[in-house]
Amino acid sequence: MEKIFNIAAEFSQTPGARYRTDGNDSGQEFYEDVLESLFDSCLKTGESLKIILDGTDGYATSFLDEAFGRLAETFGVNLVKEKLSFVSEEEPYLLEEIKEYIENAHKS
Amino acid sequence: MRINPKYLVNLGVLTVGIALGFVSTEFSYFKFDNEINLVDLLTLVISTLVGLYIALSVQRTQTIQKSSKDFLVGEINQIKSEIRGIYNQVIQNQVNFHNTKLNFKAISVSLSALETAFIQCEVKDGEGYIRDSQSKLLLIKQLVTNRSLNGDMIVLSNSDRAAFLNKYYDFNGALTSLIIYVNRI
Repeated sequence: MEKIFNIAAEFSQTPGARYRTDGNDSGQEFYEDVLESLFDSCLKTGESLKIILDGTDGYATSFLDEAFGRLAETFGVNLVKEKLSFVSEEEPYLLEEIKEYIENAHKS
Repeated sequence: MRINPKYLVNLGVLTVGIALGFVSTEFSYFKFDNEINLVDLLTLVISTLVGLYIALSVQRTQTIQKSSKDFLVGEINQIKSEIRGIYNQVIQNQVNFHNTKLNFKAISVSLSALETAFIQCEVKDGEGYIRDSQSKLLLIKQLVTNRSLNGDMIVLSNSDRAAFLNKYYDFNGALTSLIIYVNRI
């Protein structure tokens, strides 16, 4: 079983920077209002979570690090790597980038 | 006194004509058979056709290779121009967050398309060059888009700008190496 979340369609086509203070649709907003509870509910139902990254105007490092790095800090790197997957047809290299932020989360 | 090049050409043509006339008179020393050797004729025709086929296929291959190279170099130059856009914003300390994010996405998409094109054009080792460029691009993106904002502008310190320049030259150098590599194939 897999839950799918499309950032462009269900959150924002213009993801912002790291903090709410930086403006709308920040990584903090995405994490606190969407991702944390979504991931938690997936864990409770035993589902995995697939995030679709396509369709936005691009992602800042600060957004990705705040959202997915923080998720890994909260739930643990291994669990996040096991339960979370991504689709990025437009920017395949994003997958490696996000993986870096998840894996480096425990170091921060 | 300057001699008109037209007269030199005429003189050259005249000289070649005289030479050809002289050589043709020498043919009187050759004997011509009145019969045609079919085996020799067939060999001549086949040799001519094989020669023509080789010439045409080599020319066709060279044309395809050249158009592939022109396409790949054009794509790389497009990426150079996009990163130059970010460079100009950083230099002027006017880095708009949303525009920069769009530029980075455009470059990333172009690099990905270039990787696919390399595979389609059967460019060996092309992927290695692309991955090197991609990792250098990521360093720039992490430097520029991992900063706080002031309104819609990214706040970069002087040391950020200095670091950006180093990473920009690295990335630009990688793209230049890629162009040289493509032209050497």
